Amino acid sequence: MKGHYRKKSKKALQVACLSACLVTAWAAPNYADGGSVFPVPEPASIAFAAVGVAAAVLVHKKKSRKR
Amino acid sequence: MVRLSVCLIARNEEQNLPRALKSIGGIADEVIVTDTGSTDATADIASQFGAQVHHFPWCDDFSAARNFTLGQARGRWALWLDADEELLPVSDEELTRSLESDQVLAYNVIRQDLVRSDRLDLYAQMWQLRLFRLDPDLRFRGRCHPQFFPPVHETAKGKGLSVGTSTITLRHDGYVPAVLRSKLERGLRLLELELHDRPGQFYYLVEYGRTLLALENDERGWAVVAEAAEQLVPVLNHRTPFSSMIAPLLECLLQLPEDRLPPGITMNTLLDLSERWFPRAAPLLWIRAKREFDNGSFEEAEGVLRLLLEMGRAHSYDRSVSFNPAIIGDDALLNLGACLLRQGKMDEAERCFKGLLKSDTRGSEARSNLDATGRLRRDFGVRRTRPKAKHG
Repeated sequence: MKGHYRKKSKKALQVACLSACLVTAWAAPNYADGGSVFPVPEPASIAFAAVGVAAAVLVHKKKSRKR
Repeated sequence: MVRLSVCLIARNEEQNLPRALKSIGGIADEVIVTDTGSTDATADIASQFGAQVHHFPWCDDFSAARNFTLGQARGRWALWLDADEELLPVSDEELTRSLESDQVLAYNVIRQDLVRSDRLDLYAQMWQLRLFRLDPDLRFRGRCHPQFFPPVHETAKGKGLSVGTSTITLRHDGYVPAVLRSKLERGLRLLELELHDRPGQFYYLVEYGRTLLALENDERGWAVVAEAAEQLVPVLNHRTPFSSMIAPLLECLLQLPEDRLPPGITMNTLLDLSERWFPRAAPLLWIRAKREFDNGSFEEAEGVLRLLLEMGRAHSYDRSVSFNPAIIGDDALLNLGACLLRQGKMDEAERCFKGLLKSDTRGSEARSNLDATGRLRRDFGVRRTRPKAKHG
């Protein structure tokens, strides 16, 4: 009975975490306070990131999981 | 011999100019200031700082004014500076290294874009092609946001030279909200003229669409964005992007619902291109994090936000793509805390929120989230995990 209660309580906590009233900040990435647009230079000379770097996020995620 | 000419154009810049000219005092062999029609003390101030002042009638064309200025300079090298920028102290060693190379035609230098004049620590770094040989083959084109034309890497290749990077750093505060709207409005008119002169240019189409959207002209803005996106369709399978301006175009398109995307482009295509072509572009990663968060994939969102924060600490993001530095700083940390709490990782979430309590941008939001976390702890009797004692 005690175990069952704990299980239920854990589930309820998960639900509460998912529905807790939190403030987030997801403004558009290029729009600062005044609605800014940042001009992007055209550095044709800068080598575009190698395709291999595309794995950056994946590698990071794997690392995160290991932690 | 004149080694380095610092060149700038200015109109009614009496407020900014002293800072800009003071910053280059120690390194410039000559300073060329072109006044494009000031009605204030701009020209006098430039003279007081020892600059050669020239006058050029404004003709709605920044490149024309810049090219005129370059024509007045006598140095072997030019450093282009805008009036709302300043050069940060640069080591003689770095400057000498840059100017004495006989292999390099031009250098990308670092520019720190501030979003608040009072927060010198809050910026994103961008590459800017500003240090270059005074060569008649290097000239600008474009009524606004001047670009070298022909592209500098082509000119360099033709001369058997390269384009390098330098740690010389400029600080720029031209994007602070107080000056932004008028800049956007002026830019809009020049972009229209530029596209009238040379229709269909990808760079300027994207910039025009973004400016319209920023000025809340949504209908026209999205039409222009769609026009630019048409140029993307034939190159979707390419290994590398033909322009760094594709990144801001992807930013715009990723914010549209699937059914409003231009023909030939799907949401999956956009996400794929973002990852393949701009894996370290902070704004695209930010949009991806938001999508994951909105879809309830909090672990995925957490991974992307951690990456953004790491990139922010090391300034290891893609410096050809501009963005609001909050997305690699306080906003990312606040959202990371939210992702962690959604996963029930209360201790880690609290660490994020506590780290923001002193933030002047997100401190109150962090406090609110910390309170919410505290309530959950009380309601469910969850204790804080004590850090494990270290042995040995």
